[in-house]
Amino acid sequence: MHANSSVIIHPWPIVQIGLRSVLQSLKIEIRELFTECPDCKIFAEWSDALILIDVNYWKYILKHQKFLGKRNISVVGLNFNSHQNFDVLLFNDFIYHNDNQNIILSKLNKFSGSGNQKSTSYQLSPRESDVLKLVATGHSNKQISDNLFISIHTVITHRKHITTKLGIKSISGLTLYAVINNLID
Amino acid sequence: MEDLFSKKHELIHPDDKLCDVLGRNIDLLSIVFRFGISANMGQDSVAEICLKNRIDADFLVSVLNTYDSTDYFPNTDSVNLALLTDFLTKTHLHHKQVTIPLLHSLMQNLKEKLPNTKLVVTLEKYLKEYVNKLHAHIEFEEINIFPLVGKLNNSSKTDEAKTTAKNLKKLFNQHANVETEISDLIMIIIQHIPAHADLQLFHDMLHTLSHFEKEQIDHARFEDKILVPRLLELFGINSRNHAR
Repeated sequence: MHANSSVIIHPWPIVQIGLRSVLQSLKIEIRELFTECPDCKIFAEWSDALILIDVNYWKYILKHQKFLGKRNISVVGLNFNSHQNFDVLLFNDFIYHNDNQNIILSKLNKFSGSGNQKSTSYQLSPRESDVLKLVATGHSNKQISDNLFISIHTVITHRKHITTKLGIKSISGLTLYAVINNLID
Repeated sequence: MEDLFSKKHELIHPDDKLCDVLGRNIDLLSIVFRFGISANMGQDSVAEICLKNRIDADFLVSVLNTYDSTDYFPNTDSVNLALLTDFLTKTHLHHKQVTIPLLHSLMQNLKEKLPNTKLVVTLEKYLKEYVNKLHAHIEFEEINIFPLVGKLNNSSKTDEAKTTAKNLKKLFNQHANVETEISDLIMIIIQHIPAHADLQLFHDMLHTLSHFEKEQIDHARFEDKILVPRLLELFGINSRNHAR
């Protein structure tokens, strides 16, 4: 999942300044900075973005999680002082108070679209994600082919790649995977 | 020096002490329990214990070897089908009374440790659906497949051949689904163990699922490789369309 822009949501200015410096070095544009959770309407406008957010605001992400997979939004939790119980699966990764600069760079580099790091062979391509969403919602190969304007042969090839990359073969298993990873509701 | 890698898996024999057999592979204990063997096995051999408990020793040894080694394959013609279906029915009962309640209990523990998390809520839903399918599969076998063994000497078997062939084909497909879905569940849990989770709990769940998966595969081997070919042969059905 590659992001070209980012949003930082954290109440401490020093955190915002530090992250801005790291994101700039990774050529990830900083779209907006917030000290508290912004209006819901703004969230709905974001796509292909990386959100860096205080984990204490996890309910805000929970409220909007249906957008995450659909709009290619990754969420990194800034976990500095939280004692709350939150759903860790809402976040793609975490930055902790004792992470050094190299660790933070390495964690954020995964989300960079600058080409600093090639996508790993086991990550689904955007087209494979599209096919997975349709498989998981019960569409046949023919329906997927019509829906995505690709041949049935291509659909079958994508399905083979999905199974190989994820290690999951059954439709039930693929549906479970898609739900957990917010690709479908 | 002995080459450990080329050493052949030792088969279990009726003269072997049962405690030694179980000491080498403790997973066989639940199989032995299914035959009603539990207390006071002492130093007795498999054959001696079978004699005391009125169990067919050759059949028990075939079952133990099948579960003990994936390379072992019993002589299909020598297996007593009535004993086999009785054992398979007991295995179904074991799943219903032991394994499935254990999985539900582990899932309950996960729910308590990670309340309202999407992972656990979704896993629980998947497990419930899986168990429902498994119950339906068990019912299908016990109603449509196992009773065929009792009908083998019946003169009307030719009339039932068509229905039998259809049901046996359905059985193959169901086995494939039952095995794949449990293996997928294991893979998904491994990939999504959350940070800071109770690892022992996830370990217990994965270990139980993995053991259950192996049991399912061995159970299906008995049915697909012994029971089904014998039924096809005895009902005079062409087996070419049923190869797995």
